[in-house]
Amino acid sequence: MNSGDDFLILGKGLWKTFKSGDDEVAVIKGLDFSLAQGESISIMGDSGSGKSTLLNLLSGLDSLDRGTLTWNGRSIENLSTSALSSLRRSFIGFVFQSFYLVPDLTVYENLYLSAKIGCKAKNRDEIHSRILEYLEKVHLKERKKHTVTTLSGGEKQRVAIARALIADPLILFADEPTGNLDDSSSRDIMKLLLSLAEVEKKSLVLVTHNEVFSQYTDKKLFLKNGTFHD
Amino acid sequence: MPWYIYYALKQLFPSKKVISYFSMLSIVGVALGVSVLIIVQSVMNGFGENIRKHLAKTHGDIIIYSSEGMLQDWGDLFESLSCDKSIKTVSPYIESILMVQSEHDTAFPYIRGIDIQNSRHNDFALPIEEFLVAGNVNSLNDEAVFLGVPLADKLNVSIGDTVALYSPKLLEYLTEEEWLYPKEFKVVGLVQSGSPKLDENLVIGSLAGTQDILEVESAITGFLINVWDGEQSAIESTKALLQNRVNDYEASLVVKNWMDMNADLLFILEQEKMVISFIIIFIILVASFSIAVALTLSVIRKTREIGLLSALGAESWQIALCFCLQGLFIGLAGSLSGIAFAFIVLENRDVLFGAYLWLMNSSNVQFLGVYDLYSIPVQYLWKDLVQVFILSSIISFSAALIPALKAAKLKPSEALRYE
Repeated sequence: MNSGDDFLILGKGLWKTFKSGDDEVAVIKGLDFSLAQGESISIMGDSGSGKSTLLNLLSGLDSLDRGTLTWNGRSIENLSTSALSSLRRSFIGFVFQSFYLVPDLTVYENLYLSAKIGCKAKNRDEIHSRILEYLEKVHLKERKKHTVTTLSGGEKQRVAIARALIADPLILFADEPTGNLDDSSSRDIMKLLLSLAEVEKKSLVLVTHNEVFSQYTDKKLFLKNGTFHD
Repeated sequence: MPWYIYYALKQLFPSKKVISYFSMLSIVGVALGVSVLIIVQSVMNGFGENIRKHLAKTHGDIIIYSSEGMLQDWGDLFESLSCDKSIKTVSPYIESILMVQSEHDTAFPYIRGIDIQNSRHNDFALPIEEFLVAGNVNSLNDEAVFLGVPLADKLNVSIGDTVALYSPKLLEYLTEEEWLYPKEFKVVGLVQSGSPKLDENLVIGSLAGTQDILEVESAITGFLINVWDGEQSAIESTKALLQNRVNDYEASLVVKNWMDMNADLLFILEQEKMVISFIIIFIILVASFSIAVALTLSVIRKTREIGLLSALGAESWQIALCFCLQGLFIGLAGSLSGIAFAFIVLENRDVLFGAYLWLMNSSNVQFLGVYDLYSIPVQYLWKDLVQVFILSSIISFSAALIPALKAAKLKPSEALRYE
């Protein structure tokens, strides 16, 4: 059994409610969650089951109503927004369903922006070689000068994966990364994501509807009505 | 370069575009506001300066006259004033209204007699040579006059023609049914002082010739004085010293500087500038409002990007600074473009104003005549330009603050969900 300090993320009794008019709707109801170094977990569930909300809570993008959450043994509930942002920079990389690339920037510039914000290497040459390395890994080196609006969905998601990894985070959070892609692209993207996570020894939290993809993670969790089910 | 400066620059100048549409609109908004400010201020300064300069030129720095009419024995006083080291020039003068008649028309201007024979040209308190647009200053003698250009036009005379001058006394004799012939003078020069109103009523003659026609023997109206240091404070202190001295000669002597002589007009000018400055504040507000609107729209459009930046680990102050920098850049670029545009307009003001009057079917002379000017005057003051530049840049930066703080306050999870 792992002690709390051995987990990259350890959440206990996580609780989140949202206001809907005068009513309060509990979306996450007292969940426990843990993620170890190098571990991959897929979270599955129907639409509206609270998968994205859980991801936001675990990544510090949203605040808890109740419960405790630690990152690498450090409690994050009472951290200031600034401290949380600073911690998130080196801790978590995100891959979103809608890519969220900056449309005015080229492929290279999207990675450069992310590297400037989160990368430990601040030297321009180091950042440059790191960007080229990841463009190579996601097979987009030849499109580095293209604006992201000219890319296909699969290519956009590959840029997003490279962006998530460029700052060398410990954990990758992927929120339905194939949700906007066709089957063929979905398979390619998932293969790339899982292989890179494995090669780079990143922990992975994957939210997906696809049962096949979830087979490739170490652990599968089913979320229903705000709680995990077997 | 920190990422927030990089991102701000990329927002303003996206790759593969010269400048973003929203940034351009904001820059144009500020530029228009700043150019209006500079144009209004420069023209107002020009009006004020032109009127001041013209008043100083046509009145001298200081004027001495008697409150009881003409000065009879003025020789000693003239000697005394001429020896004063703070005084550059002192010119005795005589002034009166009279009637001028040509073959074509009649007018009732003022005649000003100046001591042309006993003075070097630079001894005049009035810059006659500067005013003279036709003729020669040496040709003015006791039987010749200079006329203001508009007056010459009205009388339809030019250099070499003769005009008849009727003094008030002569007109008085005529009413008593005594018949006396007027004195005829040859027009030997045309003058333009910069004030159409003054020039419409200006005849300049020699001191002796004017004294003769006015039948006042050697009496004069007073002295026009220029001091070495033309600064307002120097003129004031010289005036105070002269006031004490001339009272020893005659208690009725009054010493005034050109500012005293035109106190009402100068007061109005100051008031006008204050009111215009007040109105200008609202022009700046309109320009800064356009920046705030553009940046607020930008924040709304980029809500998801802001959420993404937070997710990547950007801190709130960095996001706020990123938008403020955009506002500052828009302010700087808009201010510089506005100043450049204002210069272009002001340097071509006569052509543009002419075109405007042509479109409005109006007359240039009629309009400028109200302001006693021949053309729109402009004076650039570096102080004004720097003030406008700094002020508009600060306001642009501040205008970006509200949308910037709004962006910084966005919760990343909510920003990412934003539709």
